[in-house]
Amino acid sequence: MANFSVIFRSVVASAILGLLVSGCVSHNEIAMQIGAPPKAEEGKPTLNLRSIQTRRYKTLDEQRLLAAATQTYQDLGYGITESSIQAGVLVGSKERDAEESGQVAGSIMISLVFAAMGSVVIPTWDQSQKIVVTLTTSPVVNTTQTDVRVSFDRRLTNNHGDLWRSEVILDEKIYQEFFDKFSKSAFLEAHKL
Amino acid sequence: MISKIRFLTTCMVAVLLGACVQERPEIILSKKSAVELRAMQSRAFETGDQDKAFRGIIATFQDLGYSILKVEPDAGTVTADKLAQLKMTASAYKRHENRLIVRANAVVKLAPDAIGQQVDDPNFYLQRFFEPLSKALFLQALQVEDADGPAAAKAGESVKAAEDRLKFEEETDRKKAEEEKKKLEQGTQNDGTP
Repeated sequence: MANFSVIFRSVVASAILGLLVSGCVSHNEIAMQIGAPPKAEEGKPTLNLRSIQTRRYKTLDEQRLLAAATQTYQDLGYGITESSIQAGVLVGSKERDAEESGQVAGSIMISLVFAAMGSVVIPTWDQSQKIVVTLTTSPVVNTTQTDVRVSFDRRLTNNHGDLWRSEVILDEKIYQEFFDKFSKSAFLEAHKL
Repeated sequence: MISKIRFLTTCMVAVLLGACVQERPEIILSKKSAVELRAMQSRAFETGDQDKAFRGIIATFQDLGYSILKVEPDAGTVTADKLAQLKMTASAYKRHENRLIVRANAVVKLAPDAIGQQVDDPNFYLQRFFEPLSKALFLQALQVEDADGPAAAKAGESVKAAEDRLKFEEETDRKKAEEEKKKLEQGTQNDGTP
């Protein structure tokens, strides 16, 4: 059922994309849509996302935090794509297989159903994904503490080699797991905001 | 008959291949004037702290769900990308002791493999960048005056109002210039007659 909803969503997404490409919506409107702050499906505001993504540490040593983050990235299989101690930024990414047998079967099934009705639907499913992680450190004003904020997003490529879906990861568990590992390698205790 | 079909097929293949060779521009630039673009893409902030502004830009990008592609603290530039479809470069540079100019430029792709198009809607830059940025900095985004081109929209001002104000300011400037020119001409005439 979950697979079916994923397929349904991707069909709707492709339809919307098709409409966009056909020129019904201007590029500025698309920029407005993509540029909007990420929201959870239930409509939670940005502030919640920020608290999920942020932990406070009792140190002003940004270099130490970034070094610990580099180790955590490497433990998790990410490669470093950009870093700056002066700006407190560390960015990493990794490629992963995203193929799920359920989705593949579902997609082929839909194609067969459509084929039986006389129309052609090329089966499409997620093939691989690129996960990008961005971490920033910022000293809290007038304290000896530093905020560490991390955000994950993923870009999915389908079996035809096209990048077709992308999303900011909103799952709280993923962030909690990251901070657990990060706190251990920094030898520091994380405080929630 | 068969040779005709063969000829037609060859023609069609040639046309198709021709389409493949067609050069694609890297980015579709805006048709709006450079002055207009500069006005919508720039804001001034009453602070001399470039580091704070720079970190504020990075924090804003992260708030909005961008991932950072490139940071250059010495130059004060950050390039970020949102879900591989929207790419924005922002830079902060000092204008005076107590004033920073932030300029942002965005390119959007309609589809992941499409050509990028420059975003040229003042509302996009206002709502999707400068408003969140001024909240992050606890500072108001001010219109950009002086040599940096005509003023951009003031905080809270509608685009229409900003355009009207710009037109009015241009008109007054033009009138002033004409008056001065007339005065000068009159002055030379007066000098010329004994």
